[in-house]
Amino acid sequence: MSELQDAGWRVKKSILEISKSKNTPHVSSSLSVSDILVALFFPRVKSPRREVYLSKGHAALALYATLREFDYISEEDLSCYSENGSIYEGHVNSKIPGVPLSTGSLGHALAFACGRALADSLVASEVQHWVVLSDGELDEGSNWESLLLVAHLGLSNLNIVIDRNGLQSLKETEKTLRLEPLAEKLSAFNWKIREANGHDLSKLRLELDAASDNIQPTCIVANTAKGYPLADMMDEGVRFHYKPATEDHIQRFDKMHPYEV
Amino acid sequence: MRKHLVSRRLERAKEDARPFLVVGDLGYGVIEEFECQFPSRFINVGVAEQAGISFCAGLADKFLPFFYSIGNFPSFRALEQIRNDVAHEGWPVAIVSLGAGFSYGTAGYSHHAIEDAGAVASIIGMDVFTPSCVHELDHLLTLHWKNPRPMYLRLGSSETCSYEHPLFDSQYYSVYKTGGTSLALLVHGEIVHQVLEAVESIERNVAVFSAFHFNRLSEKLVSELLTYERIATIEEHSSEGGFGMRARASLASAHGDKFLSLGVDTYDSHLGGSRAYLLEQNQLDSESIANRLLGFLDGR
Repeated sequence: MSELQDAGWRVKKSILEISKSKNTPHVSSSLSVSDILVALFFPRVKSPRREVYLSKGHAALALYATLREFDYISEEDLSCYSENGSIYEGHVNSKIPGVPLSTGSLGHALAFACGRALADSLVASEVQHWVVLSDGELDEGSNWESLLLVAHLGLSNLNIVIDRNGLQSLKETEKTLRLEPLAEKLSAFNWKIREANGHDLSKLRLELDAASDNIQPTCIVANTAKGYPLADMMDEGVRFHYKPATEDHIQRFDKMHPYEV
Repeated sequence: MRKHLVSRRLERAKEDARPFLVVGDLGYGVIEEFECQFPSRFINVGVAEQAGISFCAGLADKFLPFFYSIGNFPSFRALEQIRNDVAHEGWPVAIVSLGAGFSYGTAGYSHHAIEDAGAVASIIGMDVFTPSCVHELDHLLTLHWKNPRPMYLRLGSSETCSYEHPLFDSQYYSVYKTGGTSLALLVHGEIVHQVLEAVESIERNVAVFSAFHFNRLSEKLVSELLTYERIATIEEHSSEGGFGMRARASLASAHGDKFLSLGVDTYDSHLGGSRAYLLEQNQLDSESIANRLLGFLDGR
């Protein structure tokens, strides 16, 4: 197993353990997006710094576990998750190192990142801005305003990854408010579109690096499974939007061969 | 006041690299000079107020963005963006709403800005201002430049001011007219001109104050107002949740022995916890409420 996969698997384990011990929800959303975050935060040689915005702020646990994996925060910090008086709240908090914007209400981060990216381009900063959106979040009109704006401004230092797990709070995205053909829609908005398996870390990483070199804003549609890699969570992704992980989940996870699902 | 605002921003932009004008597809005949002179610090985000406000919050790390729009568009349409991305994150975005009150009268209720100040001022960290004239506007712009903070600025239509009125700059009010001790008129916004005409017509000796900070009255103004027998507030905004209600709350708080208001007053946006914990932090748990009530009853 590669160093990258090691990191990704440790983050998933951490998500399960913390969700169980703190009895917190959104575990399936966190498992869906964690590999995208690991690929984004995994250290690279001689590359510009990345600013990562987790627009689907309810998957905060995935972000915090990733920040711990890459030493932005300590184990002690992470242990404060969901505690009284803690900045490690159930939704993403900008007071945490490595977090540029608090999120929790959907449809905010892309426009904010657009402002940041434009400001950076005007002062010749090399920071690359990456926004991670959920697919259900695309129901928000503010995201489509922002997609238009970023493409219109032609920002090459801003890209997005869509966590395309096909589920939202109550049902499938296609049964809620049809998104398909998503890639064609985004392409028609003048975004360069790439598709990837959102749990194949090495390929994801290649796509991220390729997008960073583009002069046109790029959208990577990362196909994921809510709850990956646990079968019952993937089968009942909506349920585990609301339920915490259990000891049984952790035991089954420990017996799995990493990324062979 | 829109021309005055943009011309002042233009002047400032010549000596300061931070002013950045963002418009929501509005400003015909007003914003062109800024765009022409500072094209890299001007963006029309289109008819997209929600994205526009969050975009400004993103810019505010390196610039001083002004989001220029009218009426209810930059407030009600983007209220959550103002709350989450500007106010609670503390980014110094100035949101400019033209057409305060009935300035766009014939345009219909979509353009009547008579509830926006109450809505925006309810957001913790958002200061709402309605200057009565360009002098007060200048003062607010200078304050914002020296100490950038989130600000919602409601502008009326007059571009000049012929009244000489001393402005108490750190206290957010000016005195248009002094007179007697029987009645103080506390006015919010450009309607001060109608008030002055009315005062002239009734031929009574009354004082006229312009209080342009919607959220609350300053201590100095409260103490000055309390020397009058009666106080009336006048605003071009809904009375429900309006300046008058807030002014009365400021005046009532000066009478701590008669009025007590318990609410969320020490909220820290970035610290989480259970409801019980958050109530306790705001002294709204049952034990704190009881102690505060006893203290109130016993005059402590």
